[in-house]
Amino acid sequence: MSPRGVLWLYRARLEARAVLVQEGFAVLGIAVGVALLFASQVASTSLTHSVQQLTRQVVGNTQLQLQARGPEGFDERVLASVRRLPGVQEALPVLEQQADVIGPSGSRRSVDLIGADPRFARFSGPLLRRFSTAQLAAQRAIALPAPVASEIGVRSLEPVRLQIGARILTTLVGTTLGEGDIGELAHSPIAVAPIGYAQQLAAMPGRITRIFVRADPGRIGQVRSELAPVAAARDLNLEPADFDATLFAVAATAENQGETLFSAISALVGFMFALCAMLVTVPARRKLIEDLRPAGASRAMTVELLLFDAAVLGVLACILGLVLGELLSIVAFRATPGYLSSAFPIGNQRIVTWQTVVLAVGAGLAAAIIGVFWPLRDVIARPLRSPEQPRHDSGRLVRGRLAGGLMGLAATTAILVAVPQAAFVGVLTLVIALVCLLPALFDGLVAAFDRVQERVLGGAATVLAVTELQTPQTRVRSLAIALTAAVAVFGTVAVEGARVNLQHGLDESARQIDGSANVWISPRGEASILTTTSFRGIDTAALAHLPGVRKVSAYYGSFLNWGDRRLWTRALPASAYGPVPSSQLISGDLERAVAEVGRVSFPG
Amino acid sequence: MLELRDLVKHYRVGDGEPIRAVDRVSLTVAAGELAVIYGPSGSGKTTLLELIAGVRRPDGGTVLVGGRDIFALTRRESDEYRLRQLGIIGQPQNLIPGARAIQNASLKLWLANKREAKRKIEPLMTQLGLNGRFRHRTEQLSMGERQRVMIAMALSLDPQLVLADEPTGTLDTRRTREVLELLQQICRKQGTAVVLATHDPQAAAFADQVYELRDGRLAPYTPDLAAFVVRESPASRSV
Repeated sequence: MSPRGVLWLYRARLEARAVLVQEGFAVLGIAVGVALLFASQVASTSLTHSVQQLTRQVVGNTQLQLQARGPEGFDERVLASVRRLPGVQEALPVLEQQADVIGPSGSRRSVDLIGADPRFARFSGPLLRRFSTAQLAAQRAIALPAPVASEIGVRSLEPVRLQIGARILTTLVGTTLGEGDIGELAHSPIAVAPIGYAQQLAAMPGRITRIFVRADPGRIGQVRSELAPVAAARDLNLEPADFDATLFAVAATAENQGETLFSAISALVGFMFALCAMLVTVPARRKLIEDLRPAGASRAMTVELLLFDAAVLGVLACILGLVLGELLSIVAFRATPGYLSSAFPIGNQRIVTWQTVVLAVGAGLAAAIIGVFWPLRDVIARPLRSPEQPRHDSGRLVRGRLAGGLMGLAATTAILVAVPQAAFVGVLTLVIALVCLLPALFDGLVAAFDRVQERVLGGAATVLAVTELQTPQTRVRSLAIALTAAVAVFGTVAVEGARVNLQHGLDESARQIDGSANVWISPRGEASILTTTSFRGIDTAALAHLPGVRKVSAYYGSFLNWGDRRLWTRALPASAYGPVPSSQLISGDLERAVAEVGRVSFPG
Repeated sequence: MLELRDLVKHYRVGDGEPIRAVDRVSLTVAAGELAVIYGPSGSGKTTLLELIAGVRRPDGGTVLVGGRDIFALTRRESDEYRLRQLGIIGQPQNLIPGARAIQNASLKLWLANKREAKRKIEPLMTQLGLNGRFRHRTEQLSMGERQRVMIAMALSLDPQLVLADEPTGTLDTRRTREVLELLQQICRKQGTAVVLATHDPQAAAFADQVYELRDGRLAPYTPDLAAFVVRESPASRSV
């Protein structure tokens, strides 16, 4: 059949308003699925790519780094000894500090202050390449991403206040960086300054937090082994240059698992929703095929027609779904977990990769194709007229389904109890169980209702209702709706349950940590929420003499990279109450852990 | 043109005796002939037509169209046979709901990639009395008009064989006569073989062969007029 003929027939079918409305419902159903999948994928990708982008742009083409184990950094004279090592082509210092930029109206934003060496202009990614070496050396100002500057209400060449630790000072916004300058990185919470000026701002003269190293071609292994003793001698970490991205990937594993589970459930619910909507269109499509084939339409023509139907539905649904998904990802999927944003500079950019679009569009088209073809597979595959005898499920098939369903339920329970992190697999086994069990459950319920209505109700309406429920089309539609609802409810409970569990865990540990004091003093700003920002200038003796104060203790917190994890480390005074929160002890003896920690605590 | 040899089709329902819908039926219809098959409801008329159309497989016997056994054809040849050699005048409910009369009537032309579909179908529709109804949707047509749209579709590709299953069941006497005349005319002018399954007593007058199908068996038709009148008008007897 010619494409023109296919289009002609499609238009002829759509002349019926009922068909148009049914197809509209199908488009909407698939679009909802595409939107859910797209939005959840964008949320997941944005989170990971945000840190990856920043790392890539700062790291540039360097390969290794020496990293301080705390915010106080290390002596910049290490840089000279690193540069002298054979095989080192370039070694570039960086000073990183958590800071808050404060606009004229007092609105503030936590940023990662990056003090970079002028030579970074040659070696780094687009972030610093934009500046000339001379500019970076001479600037006594900071550069802010345009969205950050806009958020706090400052523009280029305007003064801005900067809080680092407990110090607040005024500096100048030398330039604002838009997407045209640094791409999606413009949405990252950063402030860039020449390293000398950053040291001055942070009151850390002669201190740096990282050295990025580029080796001569083919000598990276040699440089690594030469750097190892330098790192060991000064308690520094020696890692690949892009190690922050690795750390973040590990830290975000739980979040990504949640996102994957949510994406999978979204895809399933979306697919089931689409299928339910598609079922509405099945009778009209089935009738068309049954009328066309005796008239001479070949199987190939039938498949062409159905493919065209699916393509139209799929393409329209994908376009609508991507628009809805875009809105959904802007409105509802933007929250970044606090435990990640406090430890990593996560931007609020929305990153849409081609993989995300392909996945969402692929799922939408697959839903359309399966939704069109699956219910009609018997019409397409069989001879032109239906078998003379209606098929009934044999007892063996019913028993097999029941056994499969029960096994699926058992597998789901086992997975959720024993390996909760594999909840995605649990969703699949649950769906299999539901597919196997729902027909029997549905038939049983209808039969029970039939008996009740015969004995108790006996009205014409209930008889009609039972008859309607027993017709094949209503039965299939009801089963699909029931399955969709079951998966949606399960998904909501699973995702919400995981979120509540995580929240409870964090709340409990926070309560136990905070419970060691009545009042905590830390610099303002989101970055200080875990008290990892160090500060000086508070007279603790004077605080101790305030009325009602029994005791003042110093507390030290920091992030420490340990293996492939970024740990939140706390150093408490020996006298601190509950130095090891019981909620954080997975196995072992709490008293012994407290005693061990107490032995290495500093006096406070 | 059409030759049926000992055609058999039985349906099995449960464990009971099989229903003999078509039982060793033999029939020959030459090109340009119109064969009428009478029979009460459930006598196997529709099954017989479906076997000739090749949409249902027989349990035994052969269906030869133009000397070719249609059940020995490849799938592609079988589709081509139904599309180009065969015209089926089915029930009005087989029309595409919501579509316009001209769209329904030209369906086969589009399936056959005929570019001049509209130019070809309009005279045929006019001949069938559908002038002025081209743009009407299925639901806006009377049952008789829908039936005529079906006829137009069946005849649109000048088939060699036309199978008509109760084509005049929903038409008034005048339209019935017109349709039967048209079918006869097609037989004569185009050399088309027509097999017409009907209850309509008028049809016999236009036929070259008249048969009756009872319990799946084909026999020459002998109208029992007295019995016919008594059944049709029992009230008159009591009066």
